Amino acid sequence: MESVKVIKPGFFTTVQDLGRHRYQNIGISTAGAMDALSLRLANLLVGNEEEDAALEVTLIGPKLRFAGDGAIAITGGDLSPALNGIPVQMWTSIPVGKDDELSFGNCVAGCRAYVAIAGGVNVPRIMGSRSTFSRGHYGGVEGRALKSGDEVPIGNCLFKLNDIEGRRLRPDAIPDYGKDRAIRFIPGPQAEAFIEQSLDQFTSTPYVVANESDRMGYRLQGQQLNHVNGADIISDFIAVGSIQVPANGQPIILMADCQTTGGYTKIGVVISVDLPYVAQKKPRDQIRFEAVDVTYAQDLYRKREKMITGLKLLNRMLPALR
Amino acid sequence: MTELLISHKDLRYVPLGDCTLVVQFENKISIQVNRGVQAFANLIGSRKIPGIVQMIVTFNSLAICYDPLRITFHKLADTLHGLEDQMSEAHAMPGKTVHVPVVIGGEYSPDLEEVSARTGVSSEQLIEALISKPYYVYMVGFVDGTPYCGDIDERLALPRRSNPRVKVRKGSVAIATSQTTIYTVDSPGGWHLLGWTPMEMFNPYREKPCVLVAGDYVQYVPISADESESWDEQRQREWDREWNP
Repeated sequence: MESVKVIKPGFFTTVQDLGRHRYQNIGISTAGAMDALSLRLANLLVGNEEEDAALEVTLIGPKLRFAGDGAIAITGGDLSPALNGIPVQMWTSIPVGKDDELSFGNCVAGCRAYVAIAGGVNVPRIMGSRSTFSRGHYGGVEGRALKSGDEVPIGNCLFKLNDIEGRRLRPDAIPDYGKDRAIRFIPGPQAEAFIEQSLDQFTSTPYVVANESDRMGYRLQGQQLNHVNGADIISDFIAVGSIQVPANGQPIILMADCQTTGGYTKIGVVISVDLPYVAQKKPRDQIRFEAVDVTYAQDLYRKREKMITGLKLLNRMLPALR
Repeated sequence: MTELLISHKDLRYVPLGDCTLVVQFENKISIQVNRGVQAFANLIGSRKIPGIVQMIVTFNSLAICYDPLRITFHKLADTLHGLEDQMSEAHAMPGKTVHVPVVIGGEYSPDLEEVSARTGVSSEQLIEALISKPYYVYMVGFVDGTPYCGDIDERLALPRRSNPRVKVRKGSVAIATSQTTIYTVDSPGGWHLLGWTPMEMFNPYREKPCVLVAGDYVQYVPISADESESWDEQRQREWDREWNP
């Protein structure tokens, strides 16, 4: 398949890969998929490299028309995907043909779906990545969300479509975004800037995701957190997942498009394996926090990567074309 | 220089999530402290520690992004701690000096009069102070290569505007607190605008997207409004040959 045509753009559909990770020393936001796990799994299902570019669909999905035969996988939040009007399964590789149309319906669980296409979205790499950074107007398609009429170029699929169709994940590898679970974080690096009870307050009552929440950050509303000596620090580095608390005491989780440095105290940072669950929260959803230590978080990280490595090995066993 | 160039007392190693370690230096903005951060980054870089993905120098801390599959937080912190004593002035190599053409006055300096009125420093003296010396680049951050440089003449230090502008033109040369910056893209902003440069400080499509990196110096060089408006790539190449070889 050479391209995918955008019939309707949806609310905010962008090209994303795993982002820019070597330019933060010059103030370049990583961008990349908000739910990187779902992007990686979608890519692996259709025989792509895990870091290939795919489409990130937000809340209200687009209507897409495929230009030829191919395979796609839809992962992430359940936005009721349908092919030619008939509901299709997520988390599996499905065949598509010329002029088939993919559309979305109700947002059932989560809020961001990923559509990987065998061959990957083939837009130019800017600073090592194809991710759209809409604030900077670069990456993806003209540095912006997709609009009607866009033709999104697709790369060459390296495998026979028969070999990748119908591939699926083990059920325990599929994240459940509908389930109520705590978001775990590692306290620091300015945890001591808060009064003693703050960590307890932060973890004892849930926060509500505010309307002003996007790829840059999630504003939360709930129990006010208090500082010992004010909310300002000498500006330092911000990792994706950092939980900033400005003077009003209401936390903000910084996400994929966040700035690289900032001058507010950080009470903690969401652990890597839980970031996808934050990315699937939408305004008015609740978030409960739970503190963990770095060793525990890195054990979970290794466990997850082991699962992904297994899937990558399966892809290596696919017979290559020719 | 007689005074010690770098400072690295009581470093703290703290996790910033599970993929980044932050080395916190003394809690103040000073060139001496920042040179320590720079020196440590250079030393660590020279050791090729497996698992380190990149390092980000900020005012008084060094963020180290790493791959937890290759090195754990505690192992990395121990390794770095063991390097502290090897840090020396030799690792704090000064960066390059970049001469930036700046047009000052009229429409290019919308806040010149206000800054002059609030500080009691005449516009002429203010301009003279701004172009009198090179500024040290403490860090490059925020968004799209924003440089944080200093220290400006202390008579000019003002807090940021209480009412930030919705749009500041790319290339605006600005001051706030003890620092100066150059807006790398059109963006909202609360700094005081004193001049404008036609030099493109940031371009995501260039091999080196950013002209300035942490540890460099920036020196403003006045040019005329006419010259700035006719600036092009050819003129920039001539400028760089003459001023930034």
